[in-house]
Amino acid sequence: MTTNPRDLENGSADIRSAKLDDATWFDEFTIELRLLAVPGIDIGDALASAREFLADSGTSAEECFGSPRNYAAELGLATMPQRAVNGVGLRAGLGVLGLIGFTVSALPLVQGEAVRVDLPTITMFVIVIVGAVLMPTFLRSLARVRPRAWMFVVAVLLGLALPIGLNLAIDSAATLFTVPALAVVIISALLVLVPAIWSQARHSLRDDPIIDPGVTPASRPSLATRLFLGLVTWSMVMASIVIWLFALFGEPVAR
Amino acid sequence: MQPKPWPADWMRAALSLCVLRTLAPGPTYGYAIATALEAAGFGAIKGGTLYPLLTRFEAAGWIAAEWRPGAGGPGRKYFSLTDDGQQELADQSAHWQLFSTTVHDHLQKGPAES
Repeated sequence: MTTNPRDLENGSADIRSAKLDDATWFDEFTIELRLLAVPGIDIGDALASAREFLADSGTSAEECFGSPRNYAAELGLATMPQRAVNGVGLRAGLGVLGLIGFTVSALPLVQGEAVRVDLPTITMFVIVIVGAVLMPTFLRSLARVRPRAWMFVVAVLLGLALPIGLNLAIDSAATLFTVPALAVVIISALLVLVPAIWSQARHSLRDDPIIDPGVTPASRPSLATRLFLGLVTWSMVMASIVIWLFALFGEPVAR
Repeated sequence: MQPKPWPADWMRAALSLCVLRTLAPGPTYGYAIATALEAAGFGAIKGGTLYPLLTRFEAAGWIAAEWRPGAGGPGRKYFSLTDDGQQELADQSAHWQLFSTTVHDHLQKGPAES
């Protein structure tokens, strides 16, 4: 069997001691394997193998393995069914639709009015539906984007400008037809609650953490992981509560 | 002087068989396979070339992998030939020998006269 100089020089070296410069490479490699729907246990194995080789060779990850995207594809690891990945986009899209439904129906219900449907509202729903359908492709591209400061600035500006613009557009738009507010509220509640409950069930049944080789997976995720998953899963419900609090108490305060 | 690297096409054709042969003496790990191949004159073998081959062999059932504990982490992943892998190595070696002889003969004698 071939010997390795590292064994002689530093037998106790931790194989996780890959260079700090490689951290980005490993992050991107993990994302690429996730995008390929490789199971978490195999991702853990691939990461540990790469770290082991790098610790031995002393070269950079980029030099040793090439681009994370190509290496992830060339490894040819077994993948999970892609349908499970697309379901995430669908559930998120349904939740956003429900949230928009509450936005347009909560106040009318409290005030005993019908929901006025106009062109900007319909456009908003269509954009969300198209977004949900395109979500898997969109997420794939978004996950590969390296964050830049200007992106955060653009996101904040859009986040501020879009609601203001939509409000102005809706205020000035002609009503096409009206819908009973209670019906919209019930449908919105279903759209927000069902995906959240479904996601919660799937987390407990099909959670797929990245597991290091030789490590027995914990019977349940850590508290931090559970809190994060809970926040993501119930984010639409929490946002809905904020909308309802505003509808119930914000309007009298505004007066 | 650094020897001229082998053409990539040749390496692609021969590397699978040579990796299997490197595993024949007993279980070994990724970097050891690469250094053994380099010592044998194949030049530096990068992890990005080696591990996809090992993954393919593992999926084909020719090799088995086992993590052996290290001092401060998961340790090393050792690869060993399975019975199927040994059979595959024997078959491919015999076939390669035939191919190599064919190439050699052709290079020596040139095309047969019609």
